[in-house]
Amino acid sequence: MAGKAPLGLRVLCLGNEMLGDDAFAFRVAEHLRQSPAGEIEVVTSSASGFYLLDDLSGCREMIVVDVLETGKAAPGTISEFREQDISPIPGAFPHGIGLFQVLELGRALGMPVPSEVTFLTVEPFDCLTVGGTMNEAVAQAVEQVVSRVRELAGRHASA
Amino acid sequence: MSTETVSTRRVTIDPITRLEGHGKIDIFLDDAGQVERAYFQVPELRGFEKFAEGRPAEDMPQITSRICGVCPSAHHMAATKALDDLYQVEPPPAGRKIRELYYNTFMTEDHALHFYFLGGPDFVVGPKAPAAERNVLGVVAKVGVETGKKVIQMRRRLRELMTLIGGKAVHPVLGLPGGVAKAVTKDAQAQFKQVAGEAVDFARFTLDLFAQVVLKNSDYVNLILSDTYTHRTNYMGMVDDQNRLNFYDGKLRVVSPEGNEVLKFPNRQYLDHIAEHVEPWSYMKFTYLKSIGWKGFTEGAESGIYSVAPLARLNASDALPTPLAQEAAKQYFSTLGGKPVHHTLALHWARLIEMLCAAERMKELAEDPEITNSNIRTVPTATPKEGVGVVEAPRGTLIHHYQTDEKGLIRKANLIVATQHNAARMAMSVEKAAKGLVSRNDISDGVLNMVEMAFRAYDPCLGCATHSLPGSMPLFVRVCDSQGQTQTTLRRDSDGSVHRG
Repeated sequence: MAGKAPLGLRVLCLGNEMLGDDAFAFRVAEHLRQSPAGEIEVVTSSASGFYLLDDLSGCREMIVVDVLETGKAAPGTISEFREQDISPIPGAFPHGIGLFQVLELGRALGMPVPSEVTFLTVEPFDCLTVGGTMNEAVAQAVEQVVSRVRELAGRHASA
Repeated sequence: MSTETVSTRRVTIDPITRLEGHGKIDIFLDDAGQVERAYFQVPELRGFEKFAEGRPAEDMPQITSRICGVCPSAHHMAATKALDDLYQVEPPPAGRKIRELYYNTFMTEDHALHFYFLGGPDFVVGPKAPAAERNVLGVVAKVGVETGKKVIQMRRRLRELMTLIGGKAVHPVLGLPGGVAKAVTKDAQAQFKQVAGEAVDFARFTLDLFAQVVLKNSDYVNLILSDTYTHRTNYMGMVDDQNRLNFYDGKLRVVSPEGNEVLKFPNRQYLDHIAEHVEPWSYMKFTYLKSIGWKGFTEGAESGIYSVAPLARLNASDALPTPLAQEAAKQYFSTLGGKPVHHTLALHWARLIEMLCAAERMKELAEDPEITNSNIRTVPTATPKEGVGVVEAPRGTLIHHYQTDEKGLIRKANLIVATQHNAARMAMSVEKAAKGLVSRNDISDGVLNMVEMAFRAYDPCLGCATHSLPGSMPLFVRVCDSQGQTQTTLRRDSDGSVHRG
């Protein structure tokens, strides 16, 4: 469970260390923790959908790092977007209730979920092989995402 | 929709989720534009067996709980029980009861979440409500903010208790071969007693809400009872020595579509009774009963197809072990035409009865004086070779099977998750719903939703999803000819609007 973000900013790194490219955000988290840029709270989680509620509570602003499979970009391609850029989408699967819906639910119930959420995602190659290694292009995107997180965190701190 | 004539058309319903894979439905239309066959495809994780090979068996409760982002506690407990079997060791009474207390706390929490926020959009908001309302916000709007807060509060308290004895709520470190890592203190027991009582009240409140919102709505009841969502299959669930439902331990019992006992066997013998069938169109292995055999995707006593999860568990047991849940089950069976119940959508109701059962069992265990006994583990001394552990996970029977060398290093590991047990019935559900609802002239959003509902009730694991960003995406429908060429596309957006390309 996440604690209180010192500056109201939390970096939530979502993934699974055991599933190939899904370890991406965890690698980003390792880098961020090794050389912290200011007081960034870094949280890692392998939880799914609604089970992320605890990690979403207790901060004003959030950066979410994850893989995002669009099937329309080469592995390693980085995307950045904000929550408001994406329409909340009704669930196709109970298992797949989304982070967006959890944020909306938190707001509807008056919970302290962030009002500003930025997503930094990378296109994966394979996230279904247990014990799989990370694709080279995906691994190369780690440093770039780390830099971007620091940049965004710096802006947040000076705001 | 294309009006071009082709011998066979393929309609693909493809919710583009992210890494959890594509639970995809292919619907093939015949010359007349009617559904010929429908397939439900679920991607699975690969390579688990290889990954596990050579690792210490003791690591499995932690490793397997990290694979799944939805029910890590179930994997943790199944793995722990497999270690008991591997080392031929029985936990002392307190160790066993602590595990069971933890597990019933987890079941209470998970069932509550599922009903309100995961299954709720279908039944609380309503199957025919606009897509834009069929989500968690729609549920909150229907049940009220106060009830929504109550759910969150209940969940938080249950999670706190799981952390108290499990070490971590998300990835527990409770289970050890022969017992548990931590005793329950008097203070913890008092907290469990308090929360368990509240959980029982909450479960009863939820059942009342279900009665108000669903059972008093004849449209919903008719939908539950409709032939489209009905299958007469065998049912499997774990039972105690009196054939009462048990989530944590017991024998696996199978009843026929008529409700007669077909099989009852110790967990270790699962391979004697369950086999796997492979179809060329799916990676999924469809489990079936060996004694009856694979007879294709057909219903009835002559078919080896069976299902698991709350609907199946209530059918496969003679009774529930706790008084209030047993009363609720009686009403359930009398309302739905007797035992066994074959209506897939009744799964939501069965889930709530199980939530009450888990909360009551939690209360019984919390009040048991032995729960604070400090003798919580029997240290294993036997040489390991092979172990099987089974629990009833929220979504159905979960089997862990390990073989090791004499040092306890894994040689072979096999997991069977609920989705596999349910795969054949799910495939039939999708096909039946598609046959009853889809035609060349009607592949509308509403119809697609009704087809989706056929498998959504099972809450299938899609590659043991870790998490979901963006989580749920629009539905894409592709209409293809027999050569696989796309004829036209259909996309349903977040606002419920349908766009044809």
